[in-house]
Amino acid sequence: MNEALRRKAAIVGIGATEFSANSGRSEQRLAAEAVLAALEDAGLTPDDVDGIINSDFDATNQIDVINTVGLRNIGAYATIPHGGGSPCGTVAQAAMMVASGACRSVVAYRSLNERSGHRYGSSEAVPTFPWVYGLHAPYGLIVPAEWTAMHARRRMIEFGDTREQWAEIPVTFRANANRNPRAMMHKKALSRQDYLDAPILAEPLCRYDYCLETDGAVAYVVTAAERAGALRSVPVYIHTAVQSAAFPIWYQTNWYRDSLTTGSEMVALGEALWKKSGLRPGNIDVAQIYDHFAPLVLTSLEDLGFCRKGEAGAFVGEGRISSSGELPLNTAGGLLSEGYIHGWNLILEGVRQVRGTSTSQVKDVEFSLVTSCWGAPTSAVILSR
Amino acid sequence: MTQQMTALPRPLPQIDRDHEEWWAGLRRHELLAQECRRCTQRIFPPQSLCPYCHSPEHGWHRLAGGGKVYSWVTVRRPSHPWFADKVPYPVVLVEMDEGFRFIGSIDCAPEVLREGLRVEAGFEDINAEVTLLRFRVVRTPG
Repeated sequence: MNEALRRKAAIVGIGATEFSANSGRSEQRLAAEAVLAALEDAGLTPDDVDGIINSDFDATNQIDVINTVGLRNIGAYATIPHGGGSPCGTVAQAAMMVASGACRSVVAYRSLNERSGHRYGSSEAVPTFPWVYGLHAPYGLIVPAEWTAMHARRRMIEFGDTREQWAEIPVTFRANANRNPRAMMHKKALSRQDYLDAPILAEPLCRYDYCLETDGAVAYVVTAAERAGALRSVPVYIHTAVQSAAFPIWYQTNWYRDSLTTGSEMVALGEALWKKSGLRPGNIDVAQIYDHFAPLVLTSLEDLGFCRKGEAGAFVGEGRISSSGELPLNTAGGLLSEGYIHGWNLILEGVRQVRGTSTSQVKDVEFSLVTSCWGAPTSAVILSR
Repeated sequence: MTQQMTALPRPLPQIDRDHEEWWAGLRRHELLAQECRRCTQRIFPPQSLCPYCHSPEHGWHRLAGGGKVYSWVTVRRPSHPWFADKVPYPVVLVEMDEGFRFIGSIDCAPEVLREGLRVEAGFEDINAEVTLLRFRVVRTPG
């Protein structure tokens, strides 16, 4: 998305199901519920929607959403690839669809029974693994936590990162979740000592470094900026939305590149973000940084330019990322403590911060940043009032 | 139940046409990097065309086998049934002296591992098609 599209589109509706360990409903139904909630929030009807977007990892086909919600006017559709790298890319896509005039209103959704159904963090007895996965799976690096531990260890080697520093991420995000009734971890406290005492699962990572496994769905609605003001919700403008890959890039298993502690895709994303937005990291009032694993939040902050390479461990200390700090992060609890809707719930919290409706509301938010997955072709969006 | 658990096979690679020559190297106990015949660039993992000059004609450069531990993971909770009775097990990322990195198992306890530990490539024959990398710690005298 280029500079010409700045503030040409707005998120006018957000919707979500509850986040749980067992939804008791199909992913198709969850998707439909989230879409209907987003339309209700915007004050739009299914007939107003003429574009639909989802993520490549979504098992709910757009056909099922069309048929369940009764979307009679769909004339454009897109699916954005790269799993956890996709969420903010769907916002870029939606913005392009409405700003170009191709669509009037676009709905985007992500639905998954990731706890009661297929769990990304465990593996069935799959006999063989394709292509690059075959280069590491036979040795027992099978799931994302095991891959990420290799990168996290390298932070310790290169920068002297400590688990005491890493603890700041899950403990801060948990405190945010404790204020958020929607969060899976709303009623579960997490202390620094709990983190330090936790069993190590894929050394050097413990369970609190891992995102949750969640059943649930979220959706949002985008319209062109000139229509947004007439709707009943407070419009949240898409200031800038960008995507970035890198060369080479390896399916979150980036140990064949020059560095394990710099994500060239995230560096490129940051460069595009600041150039196209006309902003600097210091302009960001609140951020939702994709937190599949706690140490990768640190690497993302460095790659995006919030602090220098290797210094994020210190940067996140001293309350800087708390909801009253200089750079509040993941104010709904993030993927670590609110729920894991594959990064899409971060978009909803980014919207709430601009609306002023977060349960950990930051004062006078002008620019709200949301990012997607480190280590894959990824994306980011800056939302503004 | 126990029999079922132990009967589950080790996860193995799918050897596809773009990478069968690399896996054939492992079967011969040779660790290879792809080398473009036209522009001589070396890459790993292998690709179907040279990403620098787009030539489909590639050869292979045999690495000497020496390298250093670049990073490692010790898996303490298994995610795949075959590894259930193998935990805790270390997996290493080794940077070879020629500059390429490879994942492999290693013949030492997790406690021995440190950054820069000298290792050499070893080979573990699994079946007729698959040989895996199993690094060996280089014992230095003294």
